Amino acid sequence: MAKNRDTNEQYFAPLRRLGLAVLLLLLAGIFLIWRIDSPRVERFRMAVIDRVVPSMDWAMTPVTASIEMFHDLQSYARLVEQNQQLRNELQQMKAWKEAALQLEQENARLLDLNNMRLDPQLTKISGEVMADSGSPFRQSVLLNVGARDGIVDGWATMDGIGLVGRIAGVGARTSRVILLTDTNSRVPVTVQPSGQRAMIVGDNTAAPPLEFVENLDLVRPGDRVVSSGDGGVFPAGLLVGQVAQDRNGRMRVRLAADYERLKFLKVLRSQPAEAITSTGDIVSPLAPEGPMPLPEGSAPATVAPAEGEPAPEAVQ
Amino acid sequence: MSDGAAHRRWMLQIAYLTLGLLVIFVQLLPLTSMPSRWAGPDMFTVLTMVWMLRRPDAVPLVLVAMLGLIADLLFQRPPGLWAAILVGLSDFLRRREEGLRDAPFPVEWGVVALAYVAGSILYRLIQTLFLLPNAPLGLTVTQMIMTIAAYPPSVLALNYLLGLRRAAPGEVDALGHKR
Repeated sequence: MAKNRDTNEQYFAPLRRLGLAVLLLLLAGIFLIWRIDSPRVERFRMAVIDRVVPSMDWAMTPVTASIEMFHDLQSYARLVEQNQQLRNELQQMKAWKEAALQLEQENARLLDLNNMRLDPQLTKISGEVMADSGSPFRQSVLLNVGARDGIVDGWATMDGIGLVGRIAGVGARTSRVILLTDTNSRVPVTVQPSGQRAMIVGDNTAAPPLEFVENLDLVRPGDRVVSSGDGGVFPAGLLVGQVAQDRNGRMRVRLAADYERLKFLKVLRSQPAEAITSTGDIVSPLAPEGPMPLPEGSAPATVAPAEGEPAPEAVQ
Repeated sequence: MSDGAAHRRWMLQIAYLTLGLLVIFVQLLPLTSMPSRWAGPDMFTVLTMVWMLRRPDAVPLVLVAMLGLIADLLFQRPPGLWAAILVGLSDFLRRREEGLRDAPFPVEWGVVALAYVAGSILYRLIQTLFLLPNAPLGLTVTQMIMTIAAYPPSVLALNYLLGLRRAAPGEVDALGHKR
């Protein structure tokens, strides 16, 4: 019998080695294709996630809920202490609330005076967090809204308070949010009140560092950090967090969003700002072939001066 | 092959598949979105290594490759890279399974640890070679340590739960085939 087995081994060993080689080549091929044509494979990845993760949702929700309940039970032990803390905070909050109400009224009055219109394009879609990246090396979450809800790559995502990240990867039913803490995340921001422009560069820590600050002396711990809208990535003015200094004296951003519990996120539906593509149409020099004939009855355009009028250079 | 042995092989194969999917599922649970300073063990790799040194006949490499690829896709890793390394690791271990049958456990553990460390270094090397951003070194090192530390408890647990153990020297199956 054993001899029989050995002949089997001899017969099958080359086959097995061939199978191994084919498998390795196949996997290496997938890796290479991903490296060469990343967007297509990433779309495929998103499609796979779109199929797999929602089908696990029925189990994921109860398991997550019960684990969280267990965590909550542990915190009951510190209930009295927590209660006292909360009371103290509530007192402080009442004072802040009063201040906020006054400011709100003042703000409303000022807006009214200026006849100001807030950007009507900023509407939002809310989604629930279904899963996280599953790896300690990547910081991202999966939302249960996708292309069928009109989600588009690159839109900003916030929790109730602050910026959380941006959409990167949209499936039909799901979309992935790259968090600000991910090593691939770069977001242009403004530090207020000094107005310094900077970038938040994710580095897999809870408080990402501020980089490319124009003048570090003007940035102090406690300054507000808001998105700057540079490069058209995000709408401007979304709260990101507060500046804090770490032990090495490096400026970091303590994020305003509650990263401990990301449950519901809102995706800001932002339209790209109108781009000005050419410079010549706005302030054009006089056309060399003479004034343009104006259509009958139309108002004289500001750009092309009508016949007989002095050229713009002459008007001072 | 007798019915009983074939049945058991199927059962072990299904158990591997179920446990692998379970590990992926647990890792995907959205418990906290805070980046952590240390990384947990790569349980799927541990599972595969335990199986390869105990019942390599019950898990075809195709299955390892498939689960590895799914994990790569779901965990936002470069697709196919860790799966390929895992298949290589598995083949390396399954070819040493017979020689390690009567070795003491620390020796087996050492072999597994060395193989995993080599695989991790190869992974980082290839990432660097292909100009991919590498994870912080601290995370990779803690993951290595945790994974190696998770091997003995996994061996124990699988031994109790599934009766997954190394074949004794000279052990034969129901028909007298050498295992």
